[in-house]
Amino acid sequence: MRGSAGALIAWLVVGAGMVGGAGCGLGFADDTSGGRDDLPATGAGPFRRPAFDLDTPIEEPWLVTDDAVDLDEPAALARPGGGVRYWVSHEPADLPLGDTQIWAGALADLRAAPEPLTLALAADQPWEQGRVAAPALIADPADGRHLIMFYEGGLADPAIGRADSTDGGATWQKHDGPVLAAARSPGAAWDGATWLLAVERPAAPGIWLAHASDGVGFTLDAAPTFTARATVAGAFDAVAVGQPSLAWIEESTGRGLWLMWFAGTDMPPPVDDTPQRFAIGYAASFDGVDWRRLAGVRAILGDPAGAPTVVLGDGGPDYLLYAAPRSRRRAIGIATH
Amino acid sequence: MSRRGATIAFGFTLAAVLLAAARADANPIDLFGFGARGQAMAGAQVADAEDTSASYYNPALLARSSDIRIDVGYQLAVPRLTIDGRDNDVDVSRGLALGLAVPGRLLGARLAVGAGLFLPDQQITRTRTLASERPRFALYDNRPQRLFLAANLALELPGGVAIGGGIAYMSSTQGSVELDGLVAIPDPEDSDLDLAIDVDLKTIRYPQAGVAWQARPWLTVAASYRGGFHLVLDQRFVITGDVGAPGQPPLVPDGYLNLRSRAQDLFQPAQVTVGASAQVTPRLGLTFDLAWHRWSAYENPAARIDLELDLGDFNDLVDIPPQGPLPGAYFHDIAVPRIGGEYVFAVGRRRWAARAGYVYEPSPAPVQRGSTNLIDNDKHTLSAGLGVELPGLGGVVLRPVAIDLALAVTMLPEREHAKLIAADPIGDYRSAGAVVAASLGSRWRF
Repeated sequence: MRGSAGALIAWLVVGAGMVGGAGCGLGFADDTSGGRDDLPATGAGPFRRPAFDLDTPIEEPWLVTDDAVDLDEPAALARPGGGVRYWVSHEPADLPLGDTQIWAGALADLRAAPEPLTLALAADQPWEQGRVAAPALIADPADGRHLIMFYEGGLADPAIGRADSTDGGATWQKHDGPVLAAARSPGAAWDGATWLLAVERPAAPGIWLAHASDGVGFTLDAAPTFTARATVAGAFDAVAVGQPSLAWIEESTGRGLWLMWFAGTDMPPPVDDTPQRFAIGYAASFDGVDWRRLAGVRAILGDPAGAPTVVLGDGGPDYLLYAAPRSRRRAIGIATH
Repeated sequence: MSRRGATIAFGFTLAAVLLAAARADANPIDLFGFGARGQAMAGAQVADAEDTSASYYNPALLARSSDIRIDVGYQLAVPRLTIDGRDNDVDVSRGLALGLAVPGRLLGARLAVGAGLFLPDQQITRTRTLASERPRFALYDNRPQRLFLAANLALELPGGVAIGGGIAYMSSTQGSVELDGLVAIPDPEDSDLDLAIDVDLKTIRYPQAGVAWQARPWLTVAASYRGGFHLVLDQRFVITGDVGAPGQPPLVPDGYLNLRSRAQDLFQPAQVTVGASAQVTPRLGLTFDLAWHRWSAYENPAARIDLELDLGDFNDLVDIPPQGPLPGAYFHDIAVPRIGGEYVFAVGRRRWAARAGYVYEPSPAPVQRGSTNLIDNDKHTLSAGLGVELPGLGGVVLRPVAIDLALAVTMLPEREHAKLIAADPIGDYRSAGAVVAASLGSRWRF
């Protein structure tokens, strides 16, 4: 009897060992440790530039480059089917200076080649003074083919214009005259009721906001929303802020949230023609009036990276497009979250 | 069983109890229960555990049995916990549940020793330290992924009173990795470093104890206490030596990096449970527990990082800001009511038992409105189970063998986490989910 009891106990111990051994890779249902990386995020990243990869057609971390053209100030929207559509300032290196146009391209994913850039918008209005640049795009949530573009026009007297497309960006119809004078480098968003422009102003540092109820008649705030944080030790934007982009999202709780990405620098302007190096910051607001920068003094994407625009993926990756110096030209870089 | 056989088995179990002192121990089964019978009755077992699961629920109840008991089962819990509707990939918890109880006598009083073991078949213990702002289900991340081993002694006193207690163990990790030599740049593969690893698994002990009183032939009232603990991970990584190319004067002579990470992990709240078990009719038994869990002692489990760096002339080029203080977790104590029932009936010559239960566990975590994202939700668990007693197999197994099956479904109603600050990097989200747990067990008496 004692022998049988001992055998039974031994069987139990061996059985325990066999089941326990499943944890060593021998089990019938081993699985990996949990914990997701693609958790919800509003747009603060962290964004990372893709590593250089010889197997993919893009030249990481650059999305699109041209040795003969400065590509700058991108704006992006989600591409149907995945990826991003983007519009950029396109300034050929050839003279004359200031004949900037807005060109458009698209990227399905980071493993695919981007579609070639094509002309989207050129200057043809007197107030544009031969130059259109710095696009900011909004997609009408009620009509996927209705796109609204705000852009910078003019050389000596920059202002913000508006153009609409009802065919998904194939053609554009401009509004008469600018919608906001004495402003440049717009970012734009719309929550269905209020239109918001974030702009730079000539000779008035900082990021300024302008509000409208119709998307045309914008009223500029009396003071900038953000200025450089000169007194904050270690702030990445201690010297200058600018080149804002905006978005409006509805969070999972149903609450609306205005988002802003902007360029900032802690480097004084170079005395020679060396390009100033920027990094990218993030701010948000529940009401479009009271804005808060991300806590801390750090950028969400380090220099060199300016003129940000972000597409928040719905279950897919978030894309951050930026402009930065590449060799002697400016090019469009990409980072993902 | 013969008297000699019982003495040998008692000695074996006592030895197992003493040996257990050298092994890791913790408590994953707060979440899913221990043993199929207890799980089917929603864990309302502080006054009702009749098998080796008393080693977890209330050690005093071990003294009630006059049989040697061996219970063997397998438990599985499959969570689907979501953030904004997307599965957070919280790990499945599964493992072998073993129990052993051996009665004896000491100075005429009934005595029993018992041990309970839950052995996960994925990892014995997992400690995963995440940044506090990274959303995770705080109570389901590491807590189900650890071994549980309880060793107890119980004694029956006059007047229908039984007391019991034991000690459980957990291992705290303290370690360092030290590298000394040349760190080669630009090609790190040319580095020449001596490696020294020093890791201590230090024991943490926490007690558990219980008392049970047979107030009436049909009524038992009981109470139990389970100690709390928190495990501290203390890791250090040190590099000393020169930095430069092999054979060349070093760029940084006698460089130094000392990174120390300390994190509190594997927290278990102290728990006090009172309960009663009533045999309402010869066929129907009801049981009720009310437990207090001291979650207010829970601290932010994120790592505290101390970094010392000496790169000589290059120190001015390195700007690593000191880590700010970790935000508090602000968990609060909770009361957890459990109710269970068992109905015994016969089908043919077999004795069957149908069981059911319900437990409500309010979340100890506040709505995550600040920078932390230690997510938890209220939990409603409905459980049910079925047991049957099979005839003894003969040989040493003369008594009926009980086979038990349990199924428990825990629902985590949606909870909304709306952030106070618009520029919160995570933003608003909703947490919700469900956990399906099942057990299959066998109980053997000798």
